[in-house]
Amino acid sequence: MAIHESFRIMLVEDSATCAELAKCWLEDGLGTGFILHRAAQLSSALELLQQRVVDLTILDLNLPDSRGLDTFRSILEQDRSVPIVILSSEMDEELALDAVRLGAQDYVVKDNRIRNPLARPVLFAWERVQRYRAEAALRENNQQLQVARSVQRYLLPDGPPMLPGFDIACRCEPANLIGGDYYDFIPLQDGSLGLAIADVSGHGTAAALLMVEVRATLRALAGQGLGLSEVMHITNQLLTPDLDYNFVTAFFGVLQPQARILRYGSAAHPAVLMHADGAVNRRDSHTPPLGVHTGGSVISDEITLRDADVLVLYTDGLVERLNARNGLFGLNRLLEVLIRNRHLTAQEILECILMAVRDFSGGTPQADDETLVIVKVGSEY
Amino acid sequence: MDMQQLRERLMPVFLEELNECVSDMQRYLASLQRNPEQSVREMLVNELYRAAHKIKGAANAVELGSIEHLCRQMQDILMTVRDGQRSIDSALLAQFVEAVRFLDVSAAALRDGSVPGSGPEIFQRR
Repeated sequence: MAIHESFRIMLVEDSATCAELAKCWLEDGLGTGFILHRAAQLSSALELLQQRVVDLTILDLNLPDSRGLDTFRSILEQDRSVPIVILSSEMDEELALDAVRLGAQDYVVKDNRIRNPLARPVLFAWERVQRYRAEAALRENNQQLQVARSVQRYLLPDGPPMLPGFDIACRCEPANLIGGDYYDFIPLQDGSLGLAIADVSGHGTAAALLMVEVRATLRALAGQGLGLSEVMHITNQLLTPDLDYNFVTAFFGVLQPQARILRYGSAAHPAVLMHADGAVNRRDSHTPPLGVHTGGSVISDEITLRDADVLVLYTDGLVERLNARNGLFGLNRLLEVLIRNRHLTAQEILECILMAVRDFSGGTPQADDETLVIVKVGSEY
Repeated sequence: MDMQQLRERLMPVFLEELNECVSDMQRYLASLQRNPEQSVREMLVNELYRAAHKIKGAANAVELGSIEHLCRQMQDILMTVRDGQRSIDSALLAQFVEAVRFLDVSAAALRDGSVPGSGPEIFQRR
């Protein structure tokens, strides 16, 4: 049986012949896919453990600088996470049993007449090491996930803002493996409202940290009275050096409530506007996302909004939700739901869309964050 | 790897180790013959014990029963000395010298490719 080569075994044995015998047993029983460190005395063994290069210790209890259970205790105390298999002489079998009682994983008797006694306990230890590594990776991922969740919770608004003449609803459904969705409402000094939605590529802590940067940049620039193109352009210039292989699709709009004018800039982030009669006005953006290159241009435009218009901002996790047959929910289904329910309030429309996505998916796991912002125009609000 | 292959692989390592231990034991015995003070005697007995223990295990690995048996006897006696049940007098020292000579002769025989003779009953004369 071949063991993965990252399995590091420390053989603590002062006799060169017995060490060679153990090596033969290991090679014979497990192949050559392991790294063997030999220590001929306790002090060298403790050093190796300190260097954290050991997954399993095979230990002779009687060494030049330590004897019996003292040897075992010293090794155990140095690193309790490393399993220990005692290599015992026939005479010291009682001692080896005591070591097992104190926490050694197993013991084998150094006896050439026994055919490869090391294989079974070493394989058992290997299983244990693999389990520990998997658990450690899981703990690490969970920690990352918690950080990302906290960041996302902190970043996203508590709820939609009150804006006279507009009905706004918003929701971000985070995936298990947090993505980089971000949306924001930024009240501006002239009474208009900044509307942002962005999707950072990647997952976890890295994506969450990029969201922080996008948010900080947009918020800082939005308050300085700059034109939309400038805001997007500077954001792109600031982000690009930090992004390496990541990128950010973003829509940033400024809604003037009195004039009912929406000016917006978009970097590869689509939006949809539906009129009262059900006509669809797709606002696709064919410009590159932010962070790809500093010279990229960003589409900017202006829309005059009318009564009962519904502006839908969403991230791709929503329209790219898969069902069990790998079918995409898609923009057309979203538009169908929107047409059927456009007379409802922003919150109701949002719930209808999210329910349609859930029904379509049939319970398949959510792979990406799903974010939806609905802005409905109406004199009654 | 069958027993024969295993033995062939281990034998050069064993011979080197045996030579090393025989030299060490000869040195320890010579020191003991000079009747050193108690703490040095204890240390030398301990080192002799360790060397006998080492060769015993190594001899088992290469299936040399006579050497293993002799070293086990040495180890048993040294344990009683170490525990204070017995003192190491000149008669006992002479037996140890003889035992180490047997190990040395055995090593020479093994280097020549012959099988060492069965061990002398050095320690049963008491």
